[in-house]
Amino acid sequence: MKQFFVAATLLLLLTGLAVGHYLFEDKRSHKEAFLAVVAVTGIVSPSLSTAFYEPAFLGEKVEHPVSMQMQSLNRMEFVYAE
Amino acid sequence: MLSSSPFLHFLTLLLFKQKRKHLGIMLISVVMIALVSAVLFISSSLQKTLLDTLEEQADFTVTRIEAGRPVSTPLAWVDKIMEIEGVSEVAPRIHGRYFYAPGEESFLVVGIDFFDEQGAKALQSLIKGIDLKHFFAGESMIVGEGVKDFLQKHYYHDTFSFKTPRGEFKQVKIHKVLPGSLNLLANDMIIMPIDLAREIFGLREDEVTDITFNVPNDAEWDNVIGKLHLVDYEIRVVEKREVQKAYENLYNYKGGIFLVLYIIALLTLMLILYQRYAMVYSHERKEIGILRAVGWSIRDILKLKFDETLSLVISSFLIGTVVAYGYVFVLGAPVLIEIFLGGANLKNQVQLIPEVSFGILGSIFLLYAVPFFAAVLIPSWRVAVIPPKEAMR
Repeated sequence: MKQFFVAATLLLLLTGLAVGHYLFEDKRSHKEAFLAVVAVTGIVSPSLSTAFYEPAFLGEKVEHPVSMQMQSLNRMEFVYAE
Repeated sequence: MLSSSPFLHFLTLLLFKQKRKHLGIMLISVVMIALVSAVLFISSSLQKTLLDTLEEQADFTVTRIEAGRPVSTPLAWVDKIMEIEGVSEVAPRIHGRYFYAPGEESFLVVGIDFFDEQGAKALQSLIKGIDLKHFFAGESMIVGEGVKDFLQKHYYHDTFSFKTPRGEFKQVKIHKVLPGSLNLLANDMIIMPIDLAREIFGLREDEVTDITFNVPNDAEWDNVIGKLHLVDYEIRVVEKREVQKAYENLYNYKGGIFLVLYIIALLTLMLILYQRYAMVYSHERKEIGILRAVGWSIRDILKLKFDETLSLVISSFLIGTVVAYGYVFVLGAPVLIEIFLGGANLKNQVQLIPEVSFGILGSIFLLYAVPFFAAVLIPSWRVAVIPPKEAMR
């Protein structure tokens, strides 16, 4: 029985730590900092590490929401060490 | 009272005496749940951050298209757009990607205006103690952390030489570095005075990259788009709602692939579990036979198996979710983040803002718990209803 309660307490403690982190993390200042970047630059584009790209043909679908020079987001690329 | 319950005592005995059997199942479950939760945490955190910052984005962005390619936009369009009724805050922008051929990498260069008061204030709040007059007076730039690392790797410690389209080199001093906490938006970003950016991109005085503006009344949006197409044939209009839609769908594809893999792995695990209980000579079958022989009813056996499974399901799910949370929001999701942000350009180490979608987490729990219970309880019930003698044979 003791083992059961020890395991349950550990589990609750672990969950409590995560919940505490989630509740007390300063999300507001992060958001304000991001909004300040947008206020300075006017650009809301994630800094995706995709390759430089230009649509080769007229009518080729550009799926990157902001920059036509960057590759589409909806691609499945596994990245291996360079 | 709870601790004196013989049933609970027996359940604890079962769980801890057969540790190895349960640990195996728990380990597989924890890995599966941690992986799928981590993917969903990353995806929802990125989506939430981008959608939040989208509030500051202008409603419309206008560029000129020539033969299907974006080209520089005439500054004269600003006046034409201002004439359209309902339009406000028309602002020309100069930005673009600077391709660094030797490293085959690119940066996002953004030109900012000294007279934009709101932007200047925001810049001061971003970089404490920045001397704006000094920054705008000289040929200097503010770089993102990824750019700084890249330049240092290529021995550009204080200055970087941009090659302009005219074939000249423009040496620009690194003034400040943006904080690493902004890497999600600014890792590959270079901020510099607007005239300097114009020179680097080879734009004339009457040219800009694009023009942004707002239309405060949503009902007028479609009407304004119609009028914009009358300004010029070569106009391309990007609406804020298009960008918003793109961000909402961001990573649905990648998240979906992980979800499919999770379902396949889950089905395999359930099949193994079902087999273990249903096998003719299995240990579980004998155990149920013995309990039946000593007088346990079918209901008691099902209750025992239910409670045993419930303990395993809850503990595996909690451990898996907490591990995923720590991996994503404390450690910054090393390796896995590259699947979402890419690794073909500058290396990006982002700090993700905790964002948990409890609805999705609940769905994962149900998707995991229901088949788990079914895979244990159905074969247990089938064994419990046969005579104990036959079950133990």
